[in-house]
Amino acid sequence: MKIALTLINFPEKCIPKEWKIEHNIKLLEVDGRCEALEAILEFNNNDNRDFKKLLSTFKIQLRSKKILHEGSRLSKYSANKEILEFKSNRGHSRLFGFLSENSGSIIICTNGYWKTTGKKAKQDAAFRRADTLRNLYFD
Amino acid sequence: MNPTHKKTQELLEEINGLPNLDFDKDPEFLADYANGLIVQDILNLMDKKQISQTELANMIGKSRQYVSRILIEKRNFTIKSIASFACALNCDLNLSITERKTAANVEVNENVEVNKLLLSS
Repeated sequence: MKIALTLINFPEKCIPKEWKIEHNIKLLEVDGRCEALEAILEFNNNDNRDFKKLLSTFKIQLRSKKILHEGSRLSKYSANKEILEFKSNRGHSRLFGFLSENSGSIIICTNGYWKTTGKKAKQDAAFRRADTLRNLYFD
Repeated sequence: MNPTHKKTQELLEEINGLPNLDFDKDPEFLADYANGLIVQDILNLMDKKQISQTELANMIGKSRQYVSRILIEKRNFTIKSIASFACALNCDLNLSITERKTAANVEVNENVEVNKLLLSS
C-alpha cells in the first residue's frame, strides 16, 4: 500500500520566517496525520512558557550551520545519530526530527512527546518512531 | 488513517487561533535564547581549540563542575562569567542592546536619508 508523505510548513506563529537563516524547518505528515503538529499543540496547551523554550532552541539551531552540540537542548539517538531530539532547556517539550539536504538544508520534524521524570522508555519509543518516519521519508 | 486523529488543517487552524507568542516582548524567551547562544559559542570554540572542560575550568580558575553546569545550562551566567570565558578563549566579547527594526523606525530612518539628500542638494 502506498503511503502519502507531505512536508508542511512549521506554523509561522511559532517559527517566524526571519529565524530561518541557515536551515528551513518543516513538519512531516504521513497519511494525513502530522504527529509533530499534534505535539506542538500539546506543548503549547500544557505550558506555553516551556514551549517557547523549545522554540528558542530552534531559533538557535536555525541560525547555526552546524547541528547543535549534544546537551541540554539536543540529544541524538544512540542507534542512529541522524535522529535528533530538540529539547526545551530544563523543560518538558521534546520534538524529534532529522536533517535533509536534498533540496536545501531542511530540519524535518517527525514527532514529539511531553517529557515527565523517569520515563526513559517513552524517550526510546519516540526516538524509534522518528527513525521509522525518517526511513519512510528517505525510501 | 486513524479517524481519532485530528486533520492537519484543523490543527493548523487551532494553532493560528492561539494568542500571539510575542517573542520580542518576552524577557524570559530572550534570556533563554541568549544563554543558549553563548553556550553554543563556547562549545564551538572548545571544539575548534581542542580544549576540554577541565582545561577550560583551569583557565578561568573555577572547578570542572562549574564549567559543566554552565555548559548544560543548569547555571546562569553573569556578565563577569561570560567575560572570563571570552578572555580564557582569547575571544572578543560583544554585548549590546540595539534598537529593533520596526515599520515606524525604518520610516524615520528613511526620512533622515531624505533630509540628508535635501540638505546636500
